[in-house]
Amino acid sequence: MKKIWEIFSSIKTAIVLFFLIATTSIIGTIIKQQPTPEGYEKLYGPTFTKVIKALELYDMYHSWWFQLLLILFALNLIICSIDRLPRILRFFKRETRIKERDYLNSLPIKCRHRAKNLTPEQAKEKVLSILKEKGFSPSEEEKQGESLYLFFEKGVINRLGVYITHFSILLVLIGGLIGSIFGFTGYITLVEGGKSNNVVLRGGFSNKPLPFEIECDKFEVQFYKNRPDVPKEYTSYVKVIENGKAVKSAKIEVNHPLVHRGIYFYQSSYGVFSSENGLLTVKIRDKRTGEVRKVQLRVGETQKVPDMGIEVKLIAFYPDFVITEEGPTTRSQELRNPAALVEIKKGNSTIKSWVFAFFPNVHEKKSDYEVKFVSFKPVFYTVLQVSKDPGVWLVWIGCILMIVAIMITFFYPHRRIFVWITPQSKGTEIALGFSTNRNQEAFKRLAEEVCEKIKKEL
Amino acid sequence: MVKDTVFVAYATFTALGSFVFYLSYLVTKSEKVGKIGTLLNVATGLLLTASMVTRTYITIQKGWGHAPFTNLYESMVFFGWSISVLLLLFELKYKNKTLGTFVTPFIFIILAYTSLGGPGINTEVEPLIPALQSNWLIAHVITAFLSYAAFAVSCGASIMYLLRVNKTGGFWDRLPSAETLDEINYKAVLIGFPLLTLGIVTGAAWAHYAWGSYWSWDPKETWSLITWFIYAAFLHARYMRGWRGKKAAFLSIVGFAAVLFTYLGVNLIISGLHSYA
Repeated sequence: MKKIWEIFSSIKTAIVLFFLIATTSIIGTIIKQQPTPEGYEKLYGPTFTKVIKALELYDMYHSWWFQLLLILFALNLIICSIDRLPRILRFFKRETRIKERDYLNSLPIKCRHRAKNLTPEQAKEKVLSILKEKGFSPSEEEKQGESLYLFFEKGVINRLGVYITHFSILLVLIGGLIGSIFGFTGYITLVEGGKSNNVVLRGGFSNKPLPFEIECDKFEVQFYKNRPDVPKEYTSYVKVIENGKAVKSAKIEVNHPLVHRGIYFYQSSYGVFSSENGLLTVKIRDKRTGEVRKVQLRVGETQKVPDMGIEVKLIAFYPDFVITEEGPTTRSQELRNPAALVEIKKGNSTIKSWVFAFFPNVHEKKSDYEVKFVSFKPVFYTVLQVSKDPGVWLVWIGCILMIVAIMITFFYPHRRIFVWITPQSKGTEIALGFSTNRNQEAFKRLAEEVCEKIKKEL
Repeated sequence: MVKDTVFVAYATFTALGSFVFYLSYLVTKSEKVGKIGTLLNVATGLLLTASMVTRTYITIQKGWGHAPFTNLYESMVFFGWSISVLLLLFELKYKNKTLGTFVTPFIFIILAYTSLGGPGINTEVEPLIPALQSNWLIAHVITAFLSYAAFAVSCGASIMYLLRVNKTGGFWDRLPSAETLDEINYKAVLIGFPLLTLGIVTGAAWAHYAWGSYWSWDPKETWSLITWFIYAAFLHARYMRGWRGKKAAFLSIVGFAAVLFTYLGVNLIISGLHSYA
């Protein structure tokens, strides 16, 4: 037991573990990671695939041996901290702050000065004011025989910095563990106008029904006006429905998830559900008057344009128009060559016009109206990533604590000043000792300044 | 309208010039020559600042208005800028102009790669795709690259240490003492490590909002963690086992190799979620 304790409390073990975690982590950045070892034989051959399967290298960060490494790392952190903490806690006890005059000899930075014309009381006041300028005020004062002992310190918290850092790493690991046990990640697919509570969990093998439903009213892709090839925003307009009632409306965008009952909904991907039932926008120009009107249509729908005195009907829409022996049809559901057949009715006369998105100059010459394609919005489906991670707040607390503690450890050293003021036959002797655990040079410079000032002013 | 890439091209030359003068300073020991080296490095920093300001202005003109931290090209420029600024700070602090000889080559290589359009470099100003529209982007890029720059300084000081150690006389005495170099190596890691931690944490926070998970073991994330562990080992070995000098220098060089792989290797060799830069 003692042996095990010794191994885990050793820094050597810590450094070995750092290197083991770091070097083995490389494997997962080279071998493709996925939940199952399917398809590896083609990539790596049968022998190596056996190794991959045995060591779970296809999902190495969740493999037994990598998890074991992380557990050993956590144990090492805990045991190192427990092992060393008592030695550190003494800095918070009074005994450690009180030192005899002999202690001065053991300090690396020190100075002595005899003030000929000052009483110990006067000397004390001077020392207090000089050290106060440097931001030190006394936390201990004691009579030691003839001498007066004063103790100043700053940044004693630094002694705990390392342990707070270790503790914060444990918080992050525990947060991660809680997330992986009690959390889940999956996807929900919603067609515009549809609703669902069915989350397909990652890996695709199981479903998880949510205690409420999500309804998608609308999905939108926006592109930059001056760069129509670059998406600006993907937006799902959704409602949360509980017991048949809409309790919340929200806009989900990339980087702006919806949170409901601790469950996060992220904009993940989208696609075209149906091109034929989408919304077509066309511009109609009266060739005689030059008047232009915008009309929005769905297949089979008729719209009246009262001020032109016409009715417009969308007879058919082809997202990827092509003519075959059987007449016009579509090759795919993608908007590769959108075309629409529009019927315009004025009084008793009707005339049909073909409208092509990519051929704006093609239109029915005989008609009094010129019809031009403006846009077509198909019926989209949106895929939302659904995640619940009850450990995430612990991870954030751990992260913030880690950064604060690292800064304290590196940049806020524990600085101590020991002062003995001793009356002498003529005047008073002032002895100062300085000690710090980090950045000796900087404290030495401060000590020199203080000592010089004392020599000058006392 | 001036193109921002022009400034980067000029900065490539000032970086090369600063290296030449820093090197001549080592040989001639002429204060004047050293001063020119410093001034040229300051010029590099100013030119890169001008390039970033111009680029931001271009995005505003196009109606996008975003910080120039969106692709490999822009991050390389910021990387060069960060090293140049950190070198200047270390030079002022340690009052020694010889460090520049070993750090300016990094700036020059980065800028040469950038302005010659090496693999993955695209100088076009692009609008922000939805995933990049986050305030975390700015915090993440700034902290990550300042940490990279600090590690570049520590690597430069370490290479210098390995050349300098156990040598005396003539030329070698012109270099800072081995102890000072060891100290610079350590101080630079002290700056780099908290910044790297912040870079990883801000990245995790951003991933939480953009990808729905603060940690996905994406190659970029994993390599940043590997780098973090190397420098954590450096600090523990130094504090607890007194690793200094050669061992510390060696670890710093390995650490910076991991930094470069995290930054470039992952994008150029492996692909993942983090495909912008």
